Amino acid sequence: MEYKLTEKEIDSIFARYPDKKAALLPILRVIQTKAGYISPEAEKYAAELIVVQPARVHEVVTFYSWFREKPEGKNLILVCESISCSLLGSEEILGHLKKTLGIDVGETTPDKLFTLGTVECLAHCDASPSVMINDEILAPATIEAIERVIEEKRRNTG
Amino acid sequence: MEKILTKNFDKPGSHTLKVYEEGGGYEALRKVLALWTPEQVAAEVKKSNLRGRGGAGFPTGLKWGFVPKDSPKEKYLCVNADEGEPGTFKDRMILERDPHMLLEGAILASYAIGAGKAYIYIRGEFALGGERMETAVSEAYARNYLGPNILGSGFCLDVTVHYGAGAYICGEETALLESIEGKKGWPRIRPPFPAVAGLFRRPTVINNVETLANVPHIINQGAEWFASLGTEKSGGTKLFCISGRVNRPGLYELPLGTPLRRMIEEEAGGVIGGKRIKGVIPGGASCPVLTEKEIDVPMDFDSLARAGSMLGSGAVIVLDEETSMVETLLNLERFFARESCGQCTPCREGTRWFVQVLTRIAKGKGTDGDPDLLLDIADHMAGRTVCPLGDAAAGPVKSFVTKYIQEFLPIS
Ligand SMILES: Cc1cc2nc3c(=O)[nH]c(=O)nc-3n(C[C@H](O)[C@H](O)[C@H](O)COP(=O)(O)O)c2cc1C
Ligand code: SF4
Ligand code: FES
Repeated sequence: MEYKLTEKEIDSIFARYPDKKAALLPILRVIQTKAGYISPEAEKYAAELIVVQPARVHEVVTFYSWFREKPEGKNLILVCESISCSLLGSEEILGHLKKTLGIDVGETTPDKLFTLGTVECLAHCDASPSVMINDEILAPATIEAIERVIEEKRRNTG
Repeated sequence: MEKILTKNFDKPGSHTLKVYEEGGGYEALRKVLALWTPEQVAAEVKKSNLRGRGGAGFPTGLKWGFVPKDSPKEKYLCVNADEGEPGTFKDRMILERDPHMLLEGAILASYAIGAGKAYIYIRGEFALGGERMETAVSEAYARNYLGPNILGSGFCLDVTVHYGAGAYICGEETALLESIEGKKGWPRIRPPFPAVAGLFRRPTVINNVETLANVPHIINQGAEWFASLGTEKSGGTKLFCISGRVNRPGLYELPLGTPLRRMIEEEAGGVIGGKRIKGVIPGGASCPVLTEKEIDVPMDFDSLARAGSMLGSGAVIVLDEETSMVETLLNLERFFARESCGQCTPCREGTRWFVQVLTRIAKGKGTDGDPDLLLDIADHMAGRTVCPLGDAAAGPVKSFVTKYIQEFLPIS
């Protein structure tokens, strides 16, 4: 999948930092948004843009949990496991998702529609338990609400 | 009580420039740029007794004063919007509901310390907050609240929104700087302190979102007014995030010094199902837990320190009679083990040990020696690490184990 940035994107990122190396996180963010993950070729490409060794880029990609090295399902579902959500039943939500989707944490459904994961506090503990589906937050995440979202995603991204 | 930080939160369109200006927004900036020197702004904030809301409670005016005045180097302001401590959601709400209040505060702070560039470090997962903040920045440029020669004053400021990528440690101020520089978030050894050699090795101030959001109000209504709202040593109101087993979890803006019990019972509507409180974590994941008998404490930095805990980030997490204290501590330590950057052995290994031992206890396979082992590990971590995450992970252990020892011992 195409991961390269346009000239305009590159220029506007570089303009915001006094040092090219500082552009790495924003560049990786754009790459992942375009391609869904960051491949070894994309790492090399990013390294050339900011003029560092590819190993430096790889170190950054592996350090930050938001960056992914493999393609994943079309929809990424992350269940918050931290304390406030755990006190209000996140485990039950996670169990339900495992059952409905037929996969474990870290796995992708065979139709490549869903990947299931866990995440630490999403800063929505005013409405725990909370779940992040792609960019969106579902809070409080009841079993009914989750079912609805899964149905909708199946219809729209199937 | 009068709401200050949250007073716009329920207005429709509260995140837009129009609504912010209708409520008197950017008047503090206009006043300052027309009439005040940077030193006057810093002096006013110092007099207000504003203390940092990011967890450490450091006096804000004092922090700004550490930036060398005569340095020819460019100076930076970094806004810490990386909020990720379990139980905390106040900064996200400010980003979503009143981004201009934060931005005005950041502009005033930049003026006070002589910064020509500010970075707003936003947690990567904050899609809505990030979008609203970026829009606010563009709106402010269009009005010349940002950019060159702001409102004809000669003061220039550029603001960049920079996103994190899922690493709690990047909320630690020096890890945050590394992350903006494009590196993995490994905290730096201090000294040098950021005020002298921070972002790109230049003088830098790092402040929390809530801290900066207070600044326009201090300028508008005066340091005396602000100081009078709080306690003797700490001015203003505080955003408390109440979560866990309560009927009305949420954000509550209250005076510093409000008793914890009253907060839980009156504001958050008491415990779900009328159950008894077993304990309360008063200030976020790294704070020692208080038992039900200890929760008449006034919620301010000094009273909580005297009670053997901390105000931290203001996250009140309520545990009821059915909560397992072993599972709760395990959950907190799993968080720290996952988020440790791995740089220091005591933190990297200690957090893993906590998880191992607590998992064993939770499965009913603990031994008589395990409570002491937990205390021992905690002792060997505290004070021996590059950054305070090691201390934070050790922080709750002693209180959980000693106050609820029965749950940590094998059933005999
Ligand atoms: C592990 C760790 C995580 C932190 N996370 C945050 C955070 O998300 N937001 C924040 O404002 N401060 C955080 N802090 C505190 C910052 O290091 C720093 O003290 C704060 O941003 C200073 O701002 P203030 O003086 O306005 O409070 C964290 C500290 C540590 C040790
Ligand atoms: S204390 Fe932990 S998080 Fe902090 S620098 Fe050391 S290993 Fe990293
Ligand atoms: S603990 Fe789940 S959103 Fe905070």
